Amino acid sequence: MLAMKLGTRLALTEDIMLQAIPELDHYYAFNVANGDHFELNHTAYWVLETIGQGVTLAELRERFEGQFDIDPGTADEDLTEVLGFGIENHIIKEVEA
Amino acid sequence: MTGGEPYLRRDDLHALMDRIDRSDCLAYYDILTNGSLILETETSTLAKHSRLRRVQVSLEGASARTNDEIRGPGAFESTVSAIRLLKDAGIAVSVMTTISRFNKDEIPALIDLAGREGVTTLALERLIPEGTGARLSDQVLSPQELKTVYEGIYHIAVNGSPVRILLYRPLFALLSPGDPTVGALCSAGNNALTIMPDGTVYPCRRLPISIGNVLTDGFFKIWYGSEVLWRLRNPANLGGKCKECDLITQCRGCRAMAYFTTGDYMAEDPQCWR
Repeated sequence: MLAMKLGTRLALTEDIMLQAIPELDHYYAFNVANGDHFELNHTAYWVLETIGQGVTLAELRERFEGQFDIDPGTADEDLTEVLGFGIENHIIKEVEA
Repeated sequence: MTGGEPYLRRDDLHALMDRIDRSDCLAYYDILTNGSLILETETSTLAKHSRLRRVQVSLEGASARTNDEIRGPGAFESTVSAIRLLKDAGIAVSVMTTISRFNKDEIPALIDLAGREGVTTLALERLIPEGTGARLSDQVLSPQELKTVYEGIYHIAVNGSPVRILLYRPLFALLSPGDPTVGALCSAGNNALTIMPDGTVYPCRRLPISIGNVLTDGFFKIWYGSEVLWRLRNPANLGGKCKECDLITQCRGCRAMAYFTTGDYMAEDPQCWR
């Protein structure tokens, strides 16, 4: 799992805008300040959308396991990948621990 | 860069072109002008702007009688003179023609004229009943009339046309679905925007629905955030026969024509002959 405390609260970075066209299976994150754009899969989009609602890492993990009906180990692996991508590309940030 | 007439502000136009020459983000641009104000002495200066792709002028017919009925007395002569001046300076020239009942029978002759004058490309657009065209709604072609005109254009285009005719427009795909050089999606929301002089942004010059102001909102916020643009991008939002058409990946009709005919920019293209 990422080196974050479970109480860490996550947020979308300012200027990030999410967009979905579910019927075409197209999901995106856009930075409306510098034009960066990212194509996402549905899972990554769901994670970012949930983070946009204001959740802690613990809450995100709990909801993630429930949403996709997966075991905790797989959930941690998948979340680690998505959160790592989000932080590396300045899509998400930690707002408090 | 268009207007009105961009050469009415000649100094600003040249200053803007100088600025674009130094830009890191603009690859090329065209100037759309009626050609009447281009001076012989400035064509050599124009040619030095490396990112100027071509100058587009409008011709509505192959004769002064037809063209000037629409564009005004003397317009044909001044436009043809501008084409020659630009061509002599080595600048690529494009001609744009708006097809209506008034000039549809002159299109083949116009193609010949463009070829004789060394025009690089010819764009043939449909008359949209908006702006000054609103009073010309009786000149808008019926679907069958448009089909006949488009078939004639396509026949010339693929049989040794003297000028390159731009066929990547909605509805052209109906003529030859297997030809990748024919037809295109409406550019609104996909690969184009119009920025007006006050910064107001439209999805297309012919679809004047404000989707923000580039001076206050910024470009990316509009491009990525506009609900109108996202509605345009999703073919599931199309109405009528466009929604069910098997050419939905190649056509989707003209959204401006739908808007000014029905009030709904996602309605079916009223000029589709299918």
